[in-house]
Amino acid sequence: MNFHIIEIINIVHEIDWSLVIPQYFFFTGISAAAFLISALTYVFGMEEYRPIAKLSLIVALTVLIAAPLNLIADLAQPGRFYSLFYHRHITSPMSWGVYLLTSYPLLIALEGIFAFRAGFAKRAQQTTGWQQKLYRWLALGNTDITPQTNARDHRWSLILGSLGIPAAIAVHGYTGYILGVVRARPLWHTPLTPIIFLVSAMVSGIAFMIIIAWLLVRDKNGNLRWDMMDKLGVMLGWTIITDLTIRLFWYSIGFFYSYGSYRDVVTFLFRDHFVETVIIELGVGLVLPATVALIPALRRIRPLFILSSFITVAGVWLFRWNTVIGGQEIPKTGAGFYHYTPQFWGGKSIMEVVSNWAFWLFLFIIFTWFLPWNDDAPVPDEPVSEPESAQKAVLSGGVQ
Amino acid sequence: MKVSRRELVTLAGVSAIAAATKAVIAPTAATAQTTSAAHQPRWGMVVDLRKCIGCQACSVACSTENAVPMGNFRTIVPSYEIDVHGTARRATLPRLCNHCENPPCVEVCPTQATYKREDGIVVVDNEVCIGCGYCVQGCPYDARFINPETHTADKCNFCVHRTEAGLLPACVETCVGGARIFGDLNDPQSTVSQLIAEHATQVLKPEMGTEPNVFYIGLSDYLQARVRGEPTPWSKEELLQDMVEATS
Repeated sequence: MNFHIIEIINIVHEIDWSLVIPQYFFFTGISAAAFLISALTYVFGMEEYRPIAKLSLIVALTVLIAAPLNLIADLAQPGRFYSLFYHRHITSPMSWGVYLLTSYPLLIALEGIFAFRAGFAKRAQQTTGWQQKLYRWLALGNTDITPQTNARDHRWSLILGSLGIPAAIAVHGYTGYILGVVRARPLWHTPLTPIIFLVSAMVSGIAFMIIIAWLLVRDKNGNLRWDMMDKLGVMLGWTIITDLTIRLFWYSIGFFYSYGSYRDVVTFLFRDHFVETVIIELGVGLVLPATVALIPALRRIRPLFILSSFITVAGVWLFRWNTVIGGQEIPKTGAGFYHYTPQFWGGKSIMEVVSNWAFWLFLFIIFTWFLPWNDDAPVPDEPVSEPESAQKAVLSGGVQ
Repeated sequence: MKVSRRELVTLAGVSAIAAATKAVIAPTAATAQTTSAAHQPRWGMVVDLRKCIGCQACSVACSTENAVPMGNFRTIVPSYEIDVHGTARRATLPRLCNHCENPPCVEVCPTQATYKREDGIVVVDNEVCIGCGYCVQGCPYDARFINPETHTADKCNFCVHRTEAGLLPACVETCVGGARIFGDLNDPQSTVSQLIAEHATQVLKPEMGTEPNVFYIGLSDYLQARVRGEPTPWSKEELLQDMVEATS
């Protein structure tokens, strides 16, 4: 039948959740994944990841301090954000988030106190003046390093780390849940959304920690820890395979067996945004890094391995963008699709995301400066040699 | 309380008029009393699409009544040209908040700033709203927006300030063709209830399970969900720019 509708009068609804929301989702994902990587050592006792365990805790915490600022920035009434604490609503995942976003970083910080306590104690012994006071205070007033104190620290790290695992999963799982419950948005409204968000968070987090290890972690002879990074690489490869498998279920059911509003999603993703979704996000962002990470011959081409880790991080950022912004580009009532181009300056702009990265970088430099994250290395008090250039590289890798 | 002589005279006059008109206003007052005490109204609307001429008088009346900022609408009448086998016809579809029985906007609001009143009207408390936009995402009907002046969520509230005073919503009062009919769905004698009883009515996106309280007469199935067709060929930004240029 020849049937055609032309929309003559309607209003175009603005993209209300701007690009700072993908940035928020991206950062909480990095935090959850970094925390789980630290738990490999502190909870599961996997010694091969110990060189990066403390840095993972630092990343998990600093990223999670920076992430909620995006949410506040995106509020139309940012001054009222605190009212979320006393105006609660059990059916709103955003309301749960407030408690997760405050309790989870406290839990990381508390675990960090015990994980770092021996290091604090050592620094308290080595320093004088205000630094000594600070480190003694951080070491909970106890500057002894004995097998007993180490056992106690280890036990508390284990307990807090074990509590942190569900918290980390919840803090990122709930972000996927926020989108998943919105039945008005067919791209978001699937029970797979929290799961895909968690798995892609692991993908971005592992790649991110490979980059951090490449920049900062050295063995006793000052060499890169390729043994550990290779293990992370294999982990990255299999996590990407998991991600792709879930995508396969999601897209194939949507493509071949769906009806109604989900057909719009298929058209949107695979016709109008074929290049962004299929070529860049799935092909370059996932298939390519998985290939590099899982084939030893390719992984040993070290620049390629590191480059593919950067690409993975950027690819997950793009997935967050495609999901949050893409979901809103499919109109709820209007015909066709909307288009969103973020502003460069001002509120809800590209610079706001860049500033958020800069703020995280600032936190990361401060934290790595005063926390004894590399006290297992031969020169424990040596300041971090290349954080600034290193973080710039991370920055550009993530925003692209 | 000090009462001046002039006020006293005025008061006496008002009482006299009230006494004189008591017989006339009594039935109305009694109805109002019954309504508030025993009978709980559930406000709803019937939009008779056979009578809508797409004049946008409702959109204008609403924006004027509620001081809706330029570029945003609490209600609007999207218009469509529908071509079947080369025969074109126009369709109009007044859209507004559906004041759903099961409102998705209310369930996602993190601060309970938006809620459903006992009379069925879904309102936003703009002193509690933090402007997170979750309700804007959650509404399947595009009925909500973030008001750029109040910086909070905004939407149709059936002109609650008017309905509480016994008046009709602005859009209903102004509707030229009488296409918008407002009333109490709990009262079987109300016009809306009778229209729903006598006519086949439709709601928008019934598959969402929202149970809207805005009913349509003569709504085609291809306009019930998201309209799949050619989008409106102009953008809001361009139109606003044209308006600014035209008025400057």
